[in-house]
Amino acid sequence: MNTFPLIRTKWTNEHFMTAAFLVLMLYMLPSWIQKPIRILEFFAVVLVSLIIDGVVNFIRYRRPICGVSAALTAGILCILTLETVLWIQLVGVAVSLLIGKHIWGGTGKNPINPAMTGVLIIGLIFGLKAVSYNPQLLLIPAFLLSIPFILFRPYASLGFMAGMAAALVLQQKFGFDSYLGYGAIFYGCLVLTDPVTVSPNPVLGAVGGALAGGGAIVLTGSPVVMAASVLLFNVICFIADKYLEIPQKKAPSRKAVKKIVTDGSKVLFYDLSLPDSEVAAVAEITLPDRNEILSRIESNEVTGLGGAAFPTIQKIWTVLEANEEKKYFIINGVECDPGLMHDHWLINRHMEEICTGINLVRQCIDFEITALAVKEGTEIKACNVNVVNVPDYYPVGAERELIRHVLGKDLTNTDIPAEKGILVLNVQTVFSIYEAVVKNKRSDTKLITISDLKAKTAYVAKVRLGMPVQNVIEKLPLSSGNIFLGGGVMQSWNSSDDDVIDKNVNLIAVADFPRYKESVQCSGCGFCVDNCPMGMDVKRISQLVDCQKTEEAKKYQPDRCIQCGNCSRVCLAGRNLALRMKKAKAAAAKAYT
Amino acid sequence: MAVLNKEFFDGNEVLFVGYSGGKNQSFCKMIHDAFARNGIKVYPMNNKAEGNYDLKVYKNISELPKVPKTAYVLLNKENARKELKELFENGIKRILFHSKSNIDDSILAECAKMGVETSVACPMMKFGSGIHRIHGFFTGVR
Repeated sequence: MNTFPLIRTKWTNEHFMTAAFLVLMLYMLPSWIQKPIRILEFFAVVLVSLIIDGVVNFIRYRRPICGVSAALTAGILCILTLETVLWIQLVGVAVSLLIGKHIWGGTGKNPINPAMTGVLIIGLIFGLKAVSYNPQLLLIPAFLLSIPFILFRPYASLGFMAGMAAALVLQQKFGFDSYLGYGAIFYGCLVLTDPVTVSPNPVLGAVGGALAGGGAIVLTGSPVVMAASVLLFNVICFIADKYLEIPQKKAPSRKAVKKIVTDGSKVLFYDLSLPDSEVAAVAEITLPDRNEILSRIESNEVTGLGGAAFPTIQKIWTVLEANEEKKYFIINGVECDPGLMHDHWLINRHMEEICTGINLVRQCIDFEITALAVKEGTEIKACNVNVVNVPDYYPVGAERELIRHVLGKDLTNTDIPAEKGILVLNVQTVFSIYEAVVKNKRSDTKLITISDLKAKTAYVAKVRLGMPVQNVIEKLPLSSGNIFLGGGVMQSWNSSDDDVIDKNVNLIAVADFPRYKESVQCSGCGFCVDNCPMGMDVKRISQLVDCQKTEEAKKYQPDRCIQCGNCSRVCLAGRNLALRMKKAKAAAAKAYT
Repeated sequence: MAVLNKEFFDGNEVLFVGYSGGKNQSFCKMIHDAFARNGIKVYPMNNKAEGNYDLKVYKNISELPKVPKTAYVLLNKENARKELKELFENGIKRILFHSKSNIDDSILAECAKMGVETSVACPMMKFGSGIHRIHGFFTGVR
């Protein structure tokens, strides 16, 4: 069964394209007021574009596909061919969609801007009059509302506008009116920001955009020249991206994901575990020696409760035997997953026991540094360990990320922290060590978060491992809906009847299925790359997985993926990209073995 | 023909026959969600359950932990007809067919002969929202 984040962006490509289309209509406003018949002409062109796009998409995908991208193409074409007769515009839009888009495989696969293709072809055949965007009052809303689109391709967009300005200055024609009149805002914000056809690479975008903008102005600045210039830039971007494979040097993402249930809300605690009958009669022990501590950790089967469920004793032995001069102990109290709250609850109420657990581990290994890692702003009661505040972003709690922040050490994806002398344990695991050693209690209960995402409430519950999930749900006041389990809200799966609480389950959630519509139209926005904490080229890897080319995907090192789910959360095409990354990672792992 | 309401789903559970793993998966998931939102437990089934599913899909009735009394059938006429025998044999007492294009008189007659109550409607008309409810209103599903 697939895993996926339960939360995802509400925005889609279609929302942004609709917004762009509305802005385009604002550009048409002055001409509509001047000649109202143009309103009908505009919508006729849009209607034809929707019909052509709809038919071709239906033939290709055997189902209806949203045609807002075609409407956008029609809108741009109408603006640039304002003084042209209707039938030429209709020819233009047909050419745009068929030659500029569908011949390449449809929306998201076209290397060249469809509208610019149409403008160039009808301009060369029929000739086009230059369009002037005089800065009249009616155009001010259009100009202002165009600006936010720069965010899609900022380097290319700003480069293009700067190139135009520079060319006008060199020609001694620069002025506010002439700058806007040549369409600096229109092209820069709405054409050069097309993520499908323009590279996100900063250098290529800025330099290419500047040359495209400047070059077009030097060569008359007419719509046909502008279109040719933009298309040339598109081709260069395509070649660079596809064949030269200019690396997308992205810094790893450090973005916070807002908690689903705010920390300030009242947290109810339910103890749903059975009575602690297995707690030994000789509970309290004083000053246990190292062997006794290790023996109790082993016999009480303490395992990692952060999600990995790795036997803690093995981890401790690995660190003990590690051939490293200095050894480190990091207690992970970060709880970066936006849906979890039980670690925070535990820290707030059982810090003394956690401190005892930390000291027990320290009695076994002589650590150079012991640090309790918590998020910035978390207040911790006094404890005889260093408290390290790490930045609040997801997934700062991932083992290697945490080590990098706390110790400043970068481990590769093949390095095992314990073998490097670094012991990382979750706070709940440390609490479990305390219970195993001091109370001689078997590690068969755990704290989990139970979230009702519909009612925006959450509970912390103590549950016994092996408990049927249904039994847990029945005891809590939850809404009706789908039940999901997971290591966190970012890595969940749908629960089936026979599911039980195991060591991988940190969350039970009631929610609607997140809307992964798996659109066939990836706009190449690059949000997946921007939000990847490992700085991976998620876009390329997932495209190769979609084409069944997992072998080819190996060169982008999919094994570095930590399955945080951020890419799925932000994908505007509603694709579960983390699933594709998992497939690529599995294929890579298979190749290594 | 029975009225489609929540009581139609005996025990608040339903067997979803023909849960698609292909291009209709998002539609099936939407129906699944609508049932779940209304407290009806869904057992999705597809005898070609090899798709890429986000939830547990059973291959046949024998795999089910429990067989509900009500089935919702989202299959074409031919496949629906083939499936009827297995549904009858496993104690299904009520069947909701997705639309009139998925059935014919012989299917309804066969159900009636076996004492199985039937209804024909998209579940979204009853349990969905917005435009689905409007659709339901005009087709008499209220």
